[in-house]
Amino acid sequence: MSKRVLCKFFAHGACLKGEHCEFSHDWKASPNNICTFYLKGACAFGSRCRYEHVKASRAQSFGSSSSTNSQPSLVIDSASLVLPARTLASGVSLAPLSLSELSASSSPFLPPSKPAWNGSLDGDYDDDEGSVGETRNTRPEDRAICSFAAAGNCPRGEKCPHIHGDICPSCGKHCLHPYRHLEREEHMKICEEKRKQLEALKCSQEIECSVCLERVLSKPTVAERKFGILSECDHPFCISCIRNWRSSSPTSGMDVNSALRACPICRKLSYFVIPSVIWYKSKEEKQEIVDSYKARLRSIDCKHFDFGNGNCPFGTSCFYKHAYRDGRLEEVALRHIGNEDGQTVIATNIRLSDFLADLHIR
Amino acid sequence: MVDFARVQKELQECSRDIERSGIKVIPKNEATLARLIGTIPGPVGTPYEGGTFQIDIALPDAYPFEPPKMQFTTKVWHPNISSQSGAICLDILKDQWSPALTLKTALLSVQALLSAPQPDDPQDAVVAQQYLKDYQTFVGTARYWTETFAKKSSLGIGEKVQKLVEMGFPEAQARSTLEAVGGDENLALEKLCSG
Repeated sequence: MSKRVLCKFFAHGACLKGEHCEFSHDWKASPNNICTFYLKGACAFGSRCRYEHVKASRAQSFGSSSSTNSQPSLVIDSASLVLPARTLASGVSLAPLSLSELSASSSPFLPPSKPAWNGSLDGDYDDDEGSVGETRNTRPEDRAICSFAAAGNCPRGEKCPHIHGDICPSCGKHCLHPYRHLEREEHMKICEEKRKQLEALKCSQEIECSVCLERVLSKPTVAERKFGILSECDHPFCISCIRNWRSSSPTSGMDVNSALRACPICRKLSYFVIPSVIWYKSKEEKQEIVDSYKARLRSIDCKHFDFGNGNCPFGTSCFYKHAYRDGRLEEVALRHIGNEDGQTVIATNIRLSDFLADLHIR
Repeated sequence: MVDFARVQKELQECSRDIERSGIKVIPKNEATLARLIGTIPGPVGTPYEGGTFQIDIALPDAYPFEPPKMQFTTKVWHPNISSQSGAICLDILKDQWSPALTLKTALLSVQALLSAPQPDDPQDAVVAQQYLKDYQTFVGTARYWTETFAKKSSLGIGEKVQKLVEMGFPEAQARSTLEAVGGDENLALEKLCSG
């Protein structure tokens, strides 16, 4: 169905995808020039927008024309196909747009059911020059907030025809839409997270590695500017130092399990090291870093397991994915054996020869 | 390769704190930081009190992931230090080393070893025997060795040079060698004899 829409890049004679392009390279195909921001009721370019600010009827006809292929997910498809192109085309000039506008655009343009043109809107309500009168007809939540104010400073101040958003407590900018509550919450959540991350990064700057005695985040190469978090204690090291220590060959009689696996400072044994660009302040933050790291590794196929062809020395404790080529995950039934001293141990690799070794044949 | 950036930092840190700890670490010569000389004062309340002990430090290539090699150059009478070679028997200089330890903390541990001998895990069996069987004699010997080898001689540099000249060394050479080793006449004599 996407073949119906003329490729923007092809139209400019510069589509790199050639025959593999998902858009049409046929001049007869109709170009899609509908402004998706306008459809959402929030185009910051107003009358200067190079895309068409069309009304509901045409947009719907565009929607229905593409749904002739009778696929239920079509509307969303066309939206997601059109949107990236739109952002691409106007990528640079979009910069002053506020976060809220961007987040509005990234949600799929589903329904022309709650459109900006609901009322008897004739001209571009979003016109730059004093179209305030017309905006009276739109619902307040459909009106865009001033993107200059949202970016930090509106040169028109009080005289600005657009709504100025409320001040976000985290970023201190006028970027909270007074009427779109979902968007407000979204923005505040993101903003709060960003602020926390920045703060954590600030604190992390000061932290020194006790092995190289340097600030971890001031190391010369980017690869070195990472912390190595030990699973069992809270002493900071840079990832290269702690990995070096744990992998150093025990030449001078150092025991791998008691000395090298231990924290250089408190000598508590840790069984793994987690790389992280920021240092944590609470147990929860540490857990979060550990969990996200493990989740990331779980999506990567284990090279030792090799889709079932190999043998992973870490077995079920491996952080990487153990899946066969058909996508089936490895199933391991652990066999618990009662030890001589009464403790339960997990049996690995039981071989018949292990039992035969003790057998005395007369 | 030795992490010289870290060694440099350690030396700075050590010289900043010299008033309080009394522990001094200086490079043996200008050419490299891999060979150093550490100096520790004898702990108060022990037979080593009043002495200043010199320790030869050699950093292995893998430092700080391998322990520094330390050896007394000043003769010491102690169960865990060889009276012949100056070799030190201390776990953190062997299998209990940790890269979070520094030259200063290692020297502090050596200083602590002076005040808390472990005769059950001896380096020098003769000294350990004496420590266990005849503690009074041990204390006497240790004090005598401290007086003889670890006390800075009260002689001025001129008298030291004079002494070396009397032994048959040319004066200019004796003076420069003395200055090179920091005024220690025993070290100067050793150096003059060896080359």
